[in-house]
Amino acid sequence: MSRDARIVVLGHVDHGKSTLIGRLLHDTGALPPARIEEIVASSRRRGLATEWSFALDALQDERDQAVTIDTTRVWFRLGGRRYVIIDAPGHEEFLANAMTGASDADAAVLVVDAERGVEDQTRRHIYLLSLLDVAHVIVAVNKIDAVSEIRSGRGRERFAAVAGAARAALEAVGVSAHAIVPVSARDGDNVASRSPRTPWYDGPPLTELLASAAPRRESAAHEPLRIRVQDVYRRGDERVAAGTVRSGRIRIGDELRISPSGKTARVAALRAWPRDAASAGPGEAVGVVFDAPVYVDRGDLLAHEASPPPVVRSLHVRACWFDRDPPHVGETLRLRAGTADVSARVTDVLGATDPRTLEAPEHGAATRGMVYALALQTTVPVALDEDERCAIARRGVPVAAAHALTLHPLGANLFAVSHLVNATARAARNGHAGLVLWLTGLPAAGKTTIAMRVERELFQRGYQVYALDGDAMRTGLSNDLDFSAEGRSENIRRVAEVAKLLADAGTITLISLVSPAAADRARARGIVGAAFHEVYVDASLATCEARDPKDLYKRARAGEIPGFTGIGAPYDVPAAPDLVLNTERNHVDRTVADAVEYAVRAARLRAAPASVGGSS
Amino acid sequence: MSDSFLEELDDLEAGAVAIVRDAYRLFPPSCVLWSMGKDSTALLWLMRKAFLGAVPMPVVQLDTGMELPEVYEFRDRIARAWNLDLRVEQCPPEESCDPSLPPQSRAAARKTEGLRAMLAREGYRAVFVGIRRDEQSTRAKERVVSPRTLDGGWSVREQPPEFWGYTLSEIPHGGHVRVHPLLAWTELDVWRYTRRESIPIVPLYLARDGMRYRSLGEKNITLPVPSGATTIDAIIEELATTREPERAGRTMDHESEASFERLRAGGYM
Repeated sequence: MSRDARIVVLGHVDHGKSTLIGRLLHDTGALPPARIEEIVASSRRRGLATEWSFALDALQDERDQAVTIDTTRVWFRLGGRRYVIIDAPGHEEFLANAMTGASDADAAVLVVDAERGVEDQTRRHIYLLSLLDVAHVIVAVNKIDAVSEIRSGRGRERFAAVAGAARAALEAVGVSAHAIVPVSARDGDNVASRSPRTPWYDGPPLTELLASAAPRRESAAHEPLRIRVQDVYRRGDERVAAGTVRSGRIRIGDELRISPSGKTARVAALRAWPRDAASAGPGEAVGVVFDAPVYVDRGDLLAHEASPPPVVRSLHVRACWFDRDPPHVGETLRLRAGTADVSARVTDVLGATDPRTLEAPEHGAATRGMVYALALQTTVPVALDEDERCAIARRGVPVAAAHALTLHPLGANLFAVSHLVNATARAARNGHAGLVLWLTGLPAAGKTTIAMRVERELFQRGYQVYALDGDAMRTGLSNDLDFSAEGRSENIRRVAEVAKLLADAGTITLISLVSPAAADRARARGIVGAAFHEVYVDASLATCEARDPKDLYKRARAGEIPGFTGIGAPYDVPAAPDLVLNTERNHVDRTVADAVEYAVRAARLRAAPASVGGSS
Repeated sequence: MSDSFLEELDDLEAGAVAIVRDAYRLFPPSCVLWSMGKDSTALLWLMRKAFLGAVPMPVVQLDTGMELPEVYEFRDRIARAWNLDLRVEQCPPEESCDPSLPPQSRAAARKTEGLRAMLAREGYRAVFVGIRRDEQSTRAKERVVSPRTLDGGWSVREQPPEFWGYTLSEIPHGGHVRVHPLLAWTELDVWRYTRRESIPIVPLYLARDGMRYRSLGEKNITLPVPSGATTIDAIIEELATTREPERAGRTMDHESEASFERLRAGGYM
């Protein structure tokens, strides 16, 4: 309950928003005498009675046309508390300006003309209030002085009718009215004090209703930690990730996950000037220094390791549209989530709602103010929370306020890329299809020896061929993995992915990798698909241990290599291999010849018969 | 001072720091305008908070040669103490300005011209300015990140939406942006913050012989107002009760209702 109460005043154009605010300022003594003189003089110049809206409408055009064009803010004091009144334009064309004014309001005053009742823009603004989650809504039924026989039953009837319509329109979008008050902004009835002209209204005047509006409660401290990185500053050898805490609390020593990269590191220091901090909570600006040299940049989301955000490339959003030009399927926009700003393609427009009717817009209705449900596909992964407040931008200008609705965590909904060159065309040019021969067997069974010989043989015959040693992957693509069960399993997955790419590109791919677990090989088959051929390079443990060209068995027996396949860890003999090459009973030339023959046959079979050339 | 004011200032400070950090990253190269007044001095202080002690961009004074001597003394002292990259930009003479402007607005027009010339020469994409919404009613309609055309003009009818902290993130071709980190602050907020942080001020703000400057402008167009406030505490007390506007001593604001809007549309701060 510390800061100013921010109150946005909304309503249909000409229902008297600015006049009500001007009156409020005047009656609460917020207008200096010189300003009142200026308003009176400015009104007289235009041949008007004192026009209180001039206190707000500062632009020449606004005074001349008696319409608020842009949002503005004024401050006043009431019972020792400070209020910011945000005047939002009611005209359709300036909806984005109304949003600008209303986006951080704690409470709203919705002005409705007593004679004209709830109109289009009233409904739009009501929808805006639900979108913005403004809790405290007061309806001011204005121009009550214009109702004939205001004191009598007719005044009361008119008020009751308008109040009922306003209440219904609010409830239709899940907003409840805190209070409904009849006012005359021009004459001051029920603004700062109860009016004798409305004896049938026994509630408090507007100022008292405003005084009960509390600033929005901040529950952010109890939510998971979220910090969007704004920038990274170099100070000597140190790199400081600068950002503002959106929710949760960060402390020195916390283990953080950097999303979307997924890297983790501990907080070594929280830099601030003139003094560093030990912790920081919601709303505080921090400078995070990590204990390890991790890569972090603008747009990254910092969270505790235990409660990371979803990372997505595909999501649905609900977007309140401010631009004249509607969203188009296939269009590429920018999706902004905090400081993250990524390219996103509209893959589908799932629906549109006209906030004035809460139904699908009529054909040809103006786009501005419509609410769209959009399916988006981002070019790079982005970390964001469900229901997070986002913006959609075109050319750097925010054109829609959006909430993230349905998130599809990464991998769940990736779309395959369509090639214009297909496998048949590749096979036709090469004279054979691509495939994967997955050579599995105990260490020293002869996998790599066979693979290298087969590679040379097929190459000399004119085939596209490549032999990939699974352990060689560990110096490059898999150099972040250890030799734990998880590390080995992940290495096998990566080898399978690379093998699949090579085979897709039309290459006969020879993989030599112990790959002892049947489950891992089954997964590799799942990744590669029909082009996968399991080749069991068969030799007994005793034979392999006797060969031991790299002294690995010796060291394993000595306990130097824990988990060595065949000694400290099991090897699952393939139950139904596509080909068995027994290196114990057969000379290596024979196994190589068998493998070459198998490969050539499989590569031909896989290609369409008509397109097989005379390559052998 | 109650706790609630402290929290309020914390919110304002963090908000301004976030704006400064974002715009500095998004729109290089940038500069900050410093009039040596309380607002732009507080802005420099906030930049030191944002960038952990240093102001990492040129600090520009648009000089008409007409500031009061105490103001120049303050400038040189603070620039040394805070190790600022100070650039004093000489504004063109009065004769080169639009002769249809009221005489009291011509100093502002000179500054506008000086700013335009400097932007054309230095190619800054972002100009940080310490204006506030509560100062003046056309400033109340400003955006935190406000685009300017090639010649510096402000198109009040074509302002980009700002909501939930989202602002413009690209600069229209050939133009620049004005960045206003203090837009949501009030005069009282600046004084409370100045007191809390012990930010130095030009001594002219404090009353001498029953008069003080509430707003500092050129010596020929700014007048002191009657006041007994000889300390910042007393100023804060005075502001809690006054109904006189801050810029009452600025003669340029009173000449015609539209003069300030005209100045701003032409590129004034």
